[in-house]
Amino acid sequence: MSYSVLKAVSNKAAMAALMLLAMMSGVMAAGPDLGDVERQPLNITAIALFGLFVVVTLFISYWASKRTSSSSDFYTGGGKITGLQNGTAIAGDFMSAASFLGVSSLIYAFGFDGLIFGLGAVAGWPMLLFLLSERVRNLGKYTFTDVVAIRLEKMRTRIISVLGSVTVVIFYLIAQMVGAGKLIELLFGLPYEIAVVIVSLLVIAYVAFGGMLATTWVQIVKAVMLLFGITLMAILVLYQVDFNFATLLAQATQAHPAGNDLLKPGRLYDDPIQVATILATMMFGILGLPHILMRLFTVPNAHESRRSALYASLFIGYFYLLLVVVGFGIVVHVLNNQQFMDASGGLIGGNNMAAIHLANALGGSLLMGFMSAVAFATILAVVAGLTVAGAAAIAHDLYAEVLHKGKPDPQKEIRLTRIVTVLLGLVAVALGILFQDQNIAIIAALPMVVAASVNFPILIMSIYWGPMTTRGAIAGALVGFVSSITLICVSPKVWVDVLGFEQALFPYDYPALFTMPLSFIAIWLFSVTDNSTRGKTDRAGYAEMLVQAELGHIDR
Amino acid sequence: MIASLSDKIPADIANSPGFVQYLKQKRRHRIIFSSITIVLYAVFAFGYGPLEGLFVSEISVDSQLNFALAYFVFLVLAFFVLELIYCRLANSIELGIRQELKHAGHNNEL
Repeated sequence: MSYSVLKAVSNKAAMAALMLLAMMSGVMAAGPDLGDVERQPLNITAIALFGLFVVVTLFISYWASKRTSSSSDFYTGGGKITGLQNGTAIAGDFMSAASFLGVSSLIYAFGFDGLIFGLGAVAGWPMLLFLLSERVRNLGKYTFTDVVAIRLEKMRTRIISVLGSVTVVIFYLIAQMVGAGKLIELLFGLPYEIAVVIVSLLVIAYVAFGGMLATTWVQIVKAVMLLFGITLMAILVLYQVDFNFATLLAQATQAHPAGNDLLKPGRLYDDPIQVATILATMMFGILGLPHILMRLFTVPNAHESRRSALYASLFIGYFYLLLVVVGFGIVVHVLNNQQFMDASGGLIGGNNMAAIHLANALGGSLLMGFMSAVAFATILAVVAGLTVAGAAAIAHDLYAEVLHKGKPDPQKEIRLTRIVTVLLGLVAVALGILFQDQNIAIIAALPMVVAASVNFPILIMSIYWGPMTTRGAIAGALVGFVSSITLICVSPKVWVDVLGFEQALFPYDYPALFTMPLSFIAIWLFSVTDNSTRGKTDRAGYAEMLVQAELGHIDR
Repeated sequence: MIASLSDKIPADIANSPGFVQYLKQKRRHRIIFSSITIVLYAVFAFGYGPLEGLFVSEISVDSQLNFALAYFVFLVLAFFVLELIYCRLANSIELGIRQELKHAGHNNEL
């Protein structure tokens, strides 16, 4: 999609296509796809503030590296992180640059419907608390695969779980790197390739040396910066209307061509099933994200794990509530403001720059530079979390648990973990550059759909349904995986927009509402019909697992 | 089910009425709180279908704030309140099982 198309704000169809791209990778994979972007002038304030962030976070990595000597330190920060710290880090891991830029620009363009993705991003956390936070924490060691494999046949279960983990991490990483390159090009005026290399080098430095401890603190610093920035922006927006939200809404409807319809559902989607499947993908996708689940092992007990989910929910909910104010603030202060418009009447830099323009309108170049630096920091935090999860899946799940049957040489394992981290960083650069000019629609939609349709069903069934067997888990994961990829390929975003067919074979872009039940059915069917000896062993192990799931490890 | 635990699990704890009661309470809490969350969440999707009329209606005469926007804010707050209540309940029922474990001479991670 060309930049000239982006400029055509009045062309709803064109803008919807662009916005959908931004949403998919922006919210679903937490990294913005900004389409073709126009590089902005070098932003010295933003670069200086970002440089400060880099110095602080590299110092944190140095500090963390002194405390990272074992696999437990590397993957879980030694399990000594508090619930508040972990909750803040989870929020930092999940709240993305594009949650901020993408959702606010959606509200700017479509009003209320932009909040669908905001709600989806909020709703997974209570379910994480109720269903997973305690049992997953008590049963796992480093990855969610540990939990699934605890009572099933370890080799096959780990391999199939790693398929889900690595798929999510790699595709999430591609979406992030492509989004990072374009975002940094857009915000900082740096060339795409340099941006991708900077992101990768910094993430390698954080993760390879400081492991989960450094990643946690990078995510905490970033979360605090983002929450501070959005709070400041919301206060400045509300200050202009004497802190009267009704006045803000009135001004927004007057300024926007949609008028009162801006506040009503139906401008972007009018099909309840489309909305339902997006909501399902978001909610259950969060429950299957390996880098989020991994964070539950960084706290000392189930009590702190609950607090982690609670604080994550608090911060993410707070963020999205303020984003409503910021979104309508953009309509009031940026739309129709000639300072931010180009010759054709579109926003300078495209619609994803809307929140950055608002920062400029409210706080001048200093606030604009700060929010740009926050956006960059955000990408680093998310990529760091993904890299730890990817390294854990390969070095712990495959090398230590599958190849060495759970008894690896500890020194070799930690060395391999660091090597894998560096390799993942290099792969990320390569993929970022390789996919630079590709339509990443399928890549961006895949992680959340696979997480919801592969990882989540096998995880939840393994800890709550005693009759589940290894055979059932493998069948469920495969059915979820194949159906997810198939339905995404025949969805409008790929079948029509990428492959050029006239009509999609499947009408919904986010098929988790359909693929997730298929996975559950396969787990049930292949488990209840499993009369093998292994199946009997799997079922017999449930009772033992149940006690550990609820009470944690017991010293006798 | 609990009686069939292997010898790795302290049988006095696994088979104790306290633990069984604890399991039942946890299961009840999880079902209730997840169900409420999913129902509240699903209602949002109905705002694009059967409940569209309700969602587009303004909730006061002197403001353009409509039900849809108010419901979004309500959901974010409701989710957090539900989580807060769940955590409080979990803390309170854990106290009992923790004491029982202590009496039995076991230390666990709760």
